[in-house]
Amino acid sequence: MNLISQECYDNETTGASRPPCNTTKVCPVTVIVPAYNEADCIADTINSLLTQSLSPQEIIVVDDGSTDYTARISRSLGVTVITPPKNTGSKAGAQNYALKQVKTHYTLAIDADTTLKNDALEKLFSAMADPEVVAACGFVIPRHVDTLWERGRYVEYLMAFTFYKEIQEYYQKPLIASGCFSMYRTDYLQQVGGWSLRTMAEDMDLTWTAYQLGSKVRFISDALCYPIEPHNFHFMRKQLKRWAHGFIQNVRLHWKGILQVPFLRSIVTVMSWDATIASVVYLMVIPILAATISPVFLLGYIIDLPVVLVPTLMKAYSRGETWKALTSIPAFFILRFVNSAIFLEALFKEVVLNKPLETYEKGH
Amino acid sequence: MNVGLPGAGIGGIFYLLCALAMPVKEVFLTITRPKHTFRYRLVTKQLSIVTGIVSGVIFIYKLANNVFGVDLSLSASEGGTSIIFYSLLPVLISFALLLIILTSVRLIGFFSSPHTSPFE
Repeated sequence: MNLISQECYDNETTGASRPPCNTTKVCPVTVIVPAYNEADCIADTINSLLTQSLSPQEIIVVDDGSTDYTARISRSLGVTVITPPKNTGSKAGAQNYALKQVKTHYTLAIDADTTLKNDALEKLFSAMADPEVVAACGFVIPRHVDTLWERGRYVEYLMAFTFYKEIQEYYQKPLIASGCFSMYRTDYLQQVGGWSLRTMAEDMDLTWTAYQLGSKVRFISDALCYPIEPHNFHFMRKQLKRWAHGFIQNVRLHWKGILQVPFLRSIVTVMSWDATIASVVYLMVIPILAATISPVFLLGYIIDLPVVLVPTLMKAYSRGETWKALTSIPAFFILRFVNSAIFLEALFKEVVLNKPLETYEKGH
Repeated sequence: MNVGLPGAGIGGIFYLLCALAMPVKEVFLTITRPKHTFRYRLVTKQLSIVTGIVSGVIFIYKLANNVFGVDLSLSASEGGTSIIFYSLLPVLISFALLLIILTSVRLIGFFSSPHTSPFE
């Protein structure tokens, strides 16, 4: 008996009032959608959830003090809308507010600007068949690929999710169950107190906590989601800043714990090294060497081009987007340049100045 | 979520090595665990990526040779500038660095005291 039918059986025996799963394909999942002024995109997100091959039992939109029509649009689509007494100040705060109302075994976290492929929920749900798995995440592909920043992010995601993330999954340690689309066991969320506010990357915090507790996290490459990525420098900077600070905060918070987790400690170490040392080399050493010794050192900027190009084009080809990926490659290198500069700035503030980022700023 | 420099540095080498280790691990699992099924699709896909990346790096060196006229041989030829200093040496240093870093972290983990609960 597979997990889905097992869950149906369990619900029938407990006398749940909803229709049997084998006819309506409803799964014991509550979707939490934190939303702050998302009137432009919330309808797409909800419609995408409503048209899933496996329907969630409940969809809760947390209208976190929006001043637009987010709540009205959501209600018109028939989902539950809850409103905290005042703005919670962060995505994690809004998610925790909704978590108190979750009665299903599983909780799906999705951003208000993220749509799903119609079988994404079902594929993610299937990963939860293993009782040791407490979280599962999917493949992220930017919905819009127009501006320089969206194109850079598009290449970054195709590369990272096709190469890095699949290897992390193979070794059973995906670095992070992305906050934009992840499923969790509700009892695990409750055990750890929900989405923590102690770092700016609550999804990374949750993932690393799970590993330290001996649980598993899965990456399901066939479960596709399509978020709206920052379209200009202003919003991209905010997002990168939050991610950089969040990563550093999580390393400082968990470093003792992840030292005991094989493979995770390796990928975190390698990522930390590359984010600091390679950033310094990229931004300072290469230009100096090129100017003072030989222009050949400029090859350093493209020497890893195959690492970017091969997985990106492989995935793009399978999606029929080869040309789009090829024309987006230069944008990736610009994004990477900005990303490394922002990381060094974050490192300086967090470690040297001891000024942690504490205010959550939306990335779009 | 990527911070810093995705693709560059020792991270690229680390993941290349991890991908190369996948078929070895699969063979080991297939032999030692009767119920294990060799994951051909995943292993083949990742090995294809690795092959493409290594071929790409060699292509860039060849291109550099043609464009900049630098010698690609392991020893500098007369009148030419060997690219060995700019290419092979940094790669070897990166390998050594990766080994040192990962070993150090492993040792620190081995000797460090058990940590407290991650959510306290």
